[in-house]
Formats: sequence, C-alpha cells, structure tokens
Amino acid sequence: MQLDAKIPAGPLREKWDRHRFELKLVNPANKRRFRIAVVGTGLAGASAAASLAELGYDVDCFCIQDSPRRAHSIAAQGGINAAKNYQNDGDSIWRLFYDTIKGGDFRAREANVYRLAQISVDIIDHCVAQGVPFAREYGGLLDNRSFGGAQVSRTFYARGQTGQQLLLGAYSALMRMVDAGKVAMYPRHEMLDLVVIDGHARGLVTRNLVDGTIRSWAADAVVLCTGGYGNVFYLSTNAKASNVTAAYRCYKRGAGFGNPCFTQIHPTCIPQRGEYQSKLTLMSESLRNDGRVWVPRKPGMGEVDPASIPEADRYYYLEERYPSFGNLVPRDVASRAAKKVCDDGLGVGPEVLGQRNAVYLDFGDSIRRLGQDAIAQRYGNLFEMYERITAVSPYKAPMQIYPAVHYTMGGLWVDYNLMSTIPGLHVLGEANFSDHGANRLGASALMQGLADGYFVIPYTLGHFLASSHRGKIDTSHPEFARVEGECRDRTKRLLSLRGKRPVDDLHRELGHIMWDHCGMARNPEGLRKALGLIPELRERFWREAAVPGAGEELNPWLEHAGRVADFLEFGELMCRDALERDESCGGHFREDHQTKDGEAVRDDERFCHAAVWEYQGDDRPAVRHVEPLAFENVKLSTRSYK
Amino acid sequence: MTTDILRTTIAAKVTMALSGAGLVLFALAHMAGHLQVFGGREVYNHYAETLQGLGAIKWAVRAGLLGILLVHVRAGVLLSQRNRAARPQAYALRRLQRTTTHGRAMLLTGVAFLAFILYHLAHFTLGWVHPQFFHAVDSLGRPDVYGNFVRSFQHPLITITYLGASLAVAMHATHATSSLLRTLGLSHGRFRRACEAAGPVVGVALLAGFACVPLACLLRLIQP
Amino acid sequence: MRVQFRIWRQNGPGDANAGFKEYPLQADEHMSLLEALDLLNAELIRKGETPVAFEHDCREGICGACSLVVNGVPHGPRSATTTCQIHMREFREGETIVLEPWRARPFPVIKDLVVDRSAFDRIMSAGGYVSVRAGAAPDANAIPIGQPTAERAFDFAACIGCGACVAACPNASAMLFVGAKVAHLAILPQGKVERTRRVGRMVERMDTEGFGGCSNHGECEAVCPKSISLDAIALLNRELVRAAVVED
Repeated sequence: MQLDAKIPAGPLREKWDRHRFELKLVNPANKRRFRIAVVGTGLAGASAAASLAELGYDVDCFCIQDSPRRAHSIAAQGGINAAKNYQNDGDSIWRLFYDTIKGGDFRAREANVYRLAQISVDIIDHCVAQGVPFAREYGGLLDNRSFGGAQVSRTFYARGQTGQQLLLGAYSALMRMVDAGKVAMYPRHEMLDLVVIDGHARGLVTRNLVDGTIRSWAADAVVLCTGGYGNVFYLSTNAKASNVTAAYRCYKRGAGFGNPCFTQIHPTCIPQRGEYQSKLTLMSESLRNDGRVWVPRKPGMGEVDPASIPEADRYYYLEERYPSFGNLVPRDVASRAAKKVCDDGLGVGPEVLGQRNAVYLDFGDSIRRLGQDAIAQRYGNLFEMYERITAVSPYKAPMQIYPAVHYTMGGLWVDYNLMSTIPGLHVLGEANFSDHGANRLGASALMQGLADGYFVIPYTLGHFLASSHRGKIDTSHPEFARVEGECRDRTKRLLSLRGKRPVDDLHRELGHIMWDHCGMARNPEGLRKALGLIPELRERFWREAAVPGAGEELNPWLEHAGRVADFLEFGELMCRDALERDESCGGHFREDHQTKDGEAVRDDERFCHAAVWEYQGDDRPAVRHVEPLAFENVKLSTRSYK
Repeated sequence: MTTDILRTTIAAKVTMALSGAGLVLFALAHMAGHLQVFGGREVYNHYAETLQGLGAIKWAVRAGLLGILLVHVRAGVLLSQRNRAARPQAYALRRLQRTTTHGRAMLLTGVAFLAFILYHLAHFTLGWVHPQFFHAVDSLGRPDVYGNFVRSFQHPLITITYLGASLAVAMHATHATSSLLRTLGLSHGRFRRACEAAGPVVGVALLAGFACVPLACLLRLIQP
Repeated sequence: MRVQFRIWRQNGPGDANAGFKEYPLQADEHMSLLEALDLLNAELIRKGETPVAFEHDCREGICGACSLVVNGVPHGPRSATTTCQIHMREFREGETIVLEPWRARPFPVIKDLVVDRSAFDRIMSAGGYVSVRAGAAPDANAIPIGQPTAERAFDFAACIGCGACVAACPNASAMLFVGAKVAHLAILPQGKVERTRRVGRMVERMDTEGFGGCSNHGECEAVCPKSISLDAIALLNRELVRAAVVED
C-alpha cells in the first residue's frame, strides 16, 4: 500500500494557495460529462454534493434516511470554530491551527490542519449568506463564545442547535441543486459496496430500503461522507442508523483505514438508566463552566440523597487533581477521571450490570452565587432537556453525568486531496481520518465537515478528473454484476438467519466488549481478551441471530443486521490498532503508558505516525502500514492541564 | 414570475378572507340598522324608507353582496373539498388540542346561515312569511316595517329561528374574523393577540346585537 | 409497568388487511416510548412474529424522523416534545397506548407506522434556499442583522421537518412547515432577494403535493415539537400577498 500524502511543497502558509494553482482544472463545458456519486448527506456530503453540482458536475447523491436533512450532523449542539478574530482577542489562523494540532495530541498532519484553519473563515461567510441564523450581538454583528477550553472566543453558534442550522443550510444548497437538475437525490438508499475496476473506484452498489432493489451506479468518482463508527459501542451519542458499513466495505475493497482506535468520549452525557437503554444523550460541555463535578468520598453511597452528604464527604476530584483547569479539563481527561472514580466504587446513579456509572455535576454553588435566574438564562434549555429525559430538575438536585462515545477521529485514510488509497474514492468529514489526530477539539467537527465539502473537494476532485484519463464505463461492465451478486448473496445470507436472538442483543454484547476493553482506558491484556471475544461473538451472530422479514420490502432489521455484521469485523480491527499503538495519546489512553498521576504518556519516537490498515482477506490479518508525521512548524510538547 | 400565484390555495383563502371581511362588515352594519328598532316606529320606518329610497345604489349594493357571497361560498366549497381529500383515511383516535367548536363548525354554520338568508329574504324583503304584516302601512303611509318586525318576533318559532341564526352568524364570524386577519398576513408578532381577540369581540357583538331585537319583541319589551 | 399497545399494522401502501393489533408489554417507567417498542419488537422477533416498523434515528429530538400519533396526538402527550423523548412514565399502569402513523394523502404509509414524507423535500427544492454559490459570499459581518431579527428568524428556522403539523391539522395542511421556511428566509436580508419567487414556487409545490389549506385551527402549533408559532402562517400569507402585488 502506497501512502503518499501528496503534501504540497513550500512553507505551511503557502501550501494550499500553491496547491490550488497547481491543481488541474476541468474545462467548464466538460464538467457535465462527469458523474459523481456522493454517499451521505451530513455536513460533508450535502455541502460536497451541492458545491460539485454548482460547478457543473452531475451528481448522484445517496442517503439512508428518509430525507437528506436528517443526517446526524443535525444533532451537533455547541458550535463551529473559525479564526475570524472578530473578538480582537488574539485569535489567528495560526492559533487555530496550533490549538487543533495540540488538541489532537500531535497525531494529525500539519498541512491538513493548517488548511482547515485557513478555510474556517470562508465557511462562516458562506453559511451566513445561506441564511444560517447565527447568534448575534445587539449591534447586529456575529457573536462568539469560548468553547471546549479554548482561550479565545472563536466559536460561532446558533443557540444549542448549531449543527442543525448548518446542516439545514447545506441541505438547502443541495435542494437548490436538485431543483436545478444537477443533483439526483436518492434517499432511503444504502451503499452496500464499492465497485473498483482496474484499481479505480468506478461506482457503487446500493439497496433501496423501501423495496429492497439492489442496483449499481457507475461514477467517475465516488465521494464517501458516511460519518463515524461510534455505534460499534452500541451505546453512543450517535443516531441509531449511524454505521461503519460504507467505509468498511471500501476498506475491504482496498482503501486503507487510518487510526481506527481513535475514538472520542464526551464527558457530559446522561448516564445509562438500564440495560434497555438504546442510546445516550449528550449534554453540552458548556455546563462544566458553572457546574462542579463530584462523587461521595466513601464507596457505597450511590443511593444516598446527595443533599444529605456534607461538604467534607464530597470528592471534587477534578478540582483536586487539576487545580489550574479544574472542572474545565479537556474532554478525554475529564472522561477518564469519571471512569476512574466509578471503577473505584464511588459512582452514583442507577446500578447497571453491578456498577453505578455516574458522577454529580452540581449547580448548587452557582445557583447560590449567581441566583437561579442567571443559571436559568445560561442553561435553561439544557436543564429542561435533562429533566425531560430523567424527570429530575437540576435546579433541585445535582445532575448525574457520565462519559459516552461521541465521535471517531479514525476513518479511511486520505491524502491531502482527500483521496483514499483507491484512486477515485474520496472521503470527507468524520468518515476520514484526517484532521483531528488522536482527539478532536469542541466545535471542530462541523468546521471540518464543511471545509471538506464546500472548499476542498471542489478543487481536488477536479484535479483528479482532469488528470486521470480513463474511458467511460457504465453498469454493463461485468464487475458491477459481480459486486451486485456479492451484495445479493450477503443479503440472502442475512435473511436466512432464523435464530432466536434479536440482532440488537448481539449488538449490545459487542458494545460491552468494546466499552470494557477498547473504551476510555485500554490495556494490552484487555485488548487481547477482546480480540478473543469478538470473533467468538461474530461466529455466534451468524449462528444465533434472527433476521425477520423479507428482502423486497422496508426491513429495518435486515439493515441493522448488515451493519452489525460489519461492526463485528470492524471492532476487531479497532482493538488490533489499539493494541499495536503502544502509547497513550489523546482519546487513546493506554493504562500501561501513564505517569504516576495517571496522565497520558506519548511515545513520539515510535508512534509519531498514522497507522493505516490494509485488508488482506477474511482469513488473513490486516497489515499495518505507517504514514510518518513530520512536525516542521510546531514543537511536540506534552499536554498538561495541571 | 414563473408561478401563477392567483391559482394557489392561499390565493383562494385570501379571496375567502376578503369576501368574508366584506360580509362581516355588512353584518355589523346590518345589525346597527336593526338596533334602531329600539328608537321606535318613527325612527325605524324612516330608516327603512331611506334605504328603500336609495334606488340604483340599493340594487348595486345588493348585487355586490350577492357577488361577494357567491365568491365566498365558491371558495369555501373548493377549499373544503380539497381539505377533505387531503386526508382520505381518518384517524381511529384523534384528540384535538386547540381548535374550537366554532372553528370546527364553519361549514355547518355557513350552510345553516345560507339557508337562513333565504328565509330572511322571504320574510322581510319579499314578504312571503306574513303578507298581512308586510303590506301594512304606518300613519304617514310608509310601509310599516317596524310593525311587521315587532309582530313577527312575538311569534316564538320565528324568534327561535332568528336566535339560532344569530348564534350561527356569531360563531361563524368569531372564527372568521381572527382567521381572516391571519390569512391577510396581519396576525403575527405583537399584533397577534389583538387579532385573535378581534374574533370573539365581533362574535359577541353580533350575537348580542342580533339576538337582543327578537328577544325584546318576544318579551314584549317592544310593542308593535 | 404493564401497558397494552394498540398499533396500526400495514404491510405496504395498498394493504387491504391493514388494521390495529393489540400487544401487551411489561415495560419500565424510565424507558422511552421507543425503547418500549424496541422491547416489544425483540419479543416479537423471539416469537418469530413480524416486528413493528417505525421511524426513528437521533432519539434526541432533533432529526425529525420519529413520527407517531400517540393516543390521538402527533408526538404524544407532552408538548414541545418529539415522540422519541416521550417516556413511559407519561402513561398510566395498564393504559392502552394507541399508535398510528401520520395520516395525510401526501404522506402515504410505507409500512406500519412509517410514512413517506418526501413531499417536504420537493417543497424545499422549489425554493427553500438562498441561491449562493460556495465561494461567492461576502464577509460574514458585512451585513449587520439586529439581534431580535436573528432570533426571530431562528424561531422559524428551528423546524425539524417532522410533519407533525400536517398530521395534526384537520385539513392535513403543510402551511406551518412551508411558512416556517418562508418566514425564516423572508426575515433575513440574505433571503429577501428571492422572496417573491420563493413563496410562489413553494406554495405551488405544496398545492401540487395535495396538502390541504389552512383553516386556522392552530392544531399544528399545539403539537409542533419545536413550538413554531402560527405567525409562520401569517407571514407566509403576507409573503404570498406581497408577491401578488409587488413587482420585483
């Protein structure tokens, strides 16, 4: 596997400019001769499909939801970063670049991240022009807030629904191109496989989720924007339909998978209530600005009314362990600390599978200091949301929170042009591995998705099309029939599963394995155990699962079974990656690589690289390749929040 | 403009609102006219004679009203057909949250009132109901509209009919007034509360204004 | 807690045998309604019966996928709340919970409780956008927008496109949905340029799809999980009247 990142030469600041000049262009009259398939309609997919169509390409766009507007980008709450420096508080492109590289624990490519910071300003301009109602100051100019521990206010936001508003903006651009006849939109279509001909991505196979039709689509390039794989843990903040299938199928067709073990755990989610729980809900990180995190000092106090626990018996573990950052330590640090106190038996909240996995986030002090009205003004809608779900008012009792899987930094490996190791297959947004390294900063996911879709792919895809002279093919090429046949066989095989266990059950089991051994804290022993348990579970899946219904109808259980089957293979890859990365970095915390105080210890000598996995067939282990990361502009330092 | 705005359902609603507004205004004016019956025979018969004396203007107003009514009814029929077609399968269970009885009864009160208008015309304009009262004259030789009016309403069945019609028109106008203000795009932001209050105000006024006259006659508060 | 589900079952759009079926279930009061349905489906799968198809995705009230008429009310008993955020504690022990799909001609049933809402996408493609190419925008602060104006636009932009307004309307009207988008864009300076064309095309598309008209019952506002105000409809009407009389 060749891992040429194609990073342009020259000083960091000039790379993207220079590259844009060097990229080949497609003659305007020729653009309509190219057909592009865009899979997924989140921020990356919708923006890519819209902007490619605006340029004149013919786009086929697919999503699994009933409408492109429902992609899970819609649920992002916090905001979107941009180096506008509207607050005059010392922000700059360089500072956003530096913060992102450092936040990612030095496991991302400098050139990509710098470009992301450069483009960030254009995104805000574009979204405002689309009619996105960002928060404003009374003077009519855009408001910003500081987010995720950043020391400058560079986050643009639209109440607690920034993702929704940005996605609706991208969706409106997409719908405009549908109206113009340049995008053919196919909702309720799931990509089942990639068609690779002569080493190039030349199309895909989909299943129509309403009538079950499996069919092929030829394309001059495929743009994959299918999001992250957090649902491998079963419980996550992802939407129920979020899955790894499209990306994993591409991996099996030869696309390298980068850093699969890099997952982000968000520290403030509503804890699991019972085993029936189907998903977790995130509470905005901003709550940590005024809430104090604590647990009882003594174990076995999980059921005691928190109001009756005297101050001296409360363990404010973040404030005690991290005196300077206190409750505002970064996501990964806060999450691990919560896990540690719960594992030590100090947890509170409902007991699930023998352990209480929650800590208090207490607003009592803030309410006493600032008054209930001030707190209601800041967090009223979040408190309401919390009460709606838990039936407990945070004004009266402390919130219970616990970390939950939230985002996956790993994804298909792409070069500077966002092209995977399969020529013609481009990967955007959370589905690729590129910009966040080992940990993503708050308000950066929206920025990356839109940067990729609006402002990177329109240039780099043109270059690819202009420079790769390949003949036209259509779906009559025998390879399409072959891949379609494989998809049909696989669907048939799933439908023939007439065991007794609902797929949901088996998915939960996988989730337990992943969470216990490849979650917030990992160690070689646990990972090896998981590597034994997953194949065994996979085998049981194909023996015990029950998939009801037929293939020629709307069949959500068939869809889910296909996705879980892929998670059952992919989980193993994650664990192998976590085992091989013999260091701690960002969201990947290895208990065998920590300081005495429990802080992560990186190994830059051996692991300052991206790990890229190459599929070798079902019966042979995947091969690990390495893309070394060169840091020419920033100095590798140790993150410290003490 | 690539679309024909005048063919849209909203345009039909606006037509309905404008014609409805005309009808509400007429109803209010008509009501004010009737209230003059409390002024006695002289005032009322003079008023009736003045109206009759308008000649061509009277006929123009009548034709205009008829036209407005036809436009209103036609738009109403088309829209309600469309509305019914939009939900071919009804819910087995549906708990309405907000709508009112008068809001739901628009078609019913509209049709009932339409039937009443025919009766009303036969009663007071054509004189088919009580020809003996209708053709009476007062001391000045004018048609004794006052006498016809008061004697008619001493008949309980007639009064009940008119009371029913007053209720129907009041219900219809209550929903219609607030509704038309929204349809004309006025009921939003800080004007919304006023617009929503306008319906009940008009409705109550119409009910009181129309009902008090036959009731007063029935209770012999006004004598022929 | 024990409840009795009474669920609409329908195998495809033209199923002549469609109708209600009853299912008893032992649920937990802290479960969400959809988790109770998950549990019911798991039981049905174990028994070899066909599980109930229903639409859901984010399960945190923002994607707009979930769409159940619960005991006669779209999105169920709690105001300003989507179906996915209803919990079993909202129901009584032993209660019969009736579940129906959205019912409207433009929303044909695909299966059980799942309907086809693509009519909404077609309405949006008729004009629910600002025509701006990526790369063409001026600086974001070039046009100041008053804070109250931005907030008002947001109130309408908050629509999640779930279709509860249509489901609740006695006329199956889509005016609140269309009005929310038209109002959002008509309020902002960026959207004003295309306002005439937008409102005409979107309303025309809405009519073609077969939605009913607005009779100002207010049912849509009562069930809207995002509390979109009826003002959206007033503004939609105003925009259409404006488009009829004002020449661009």
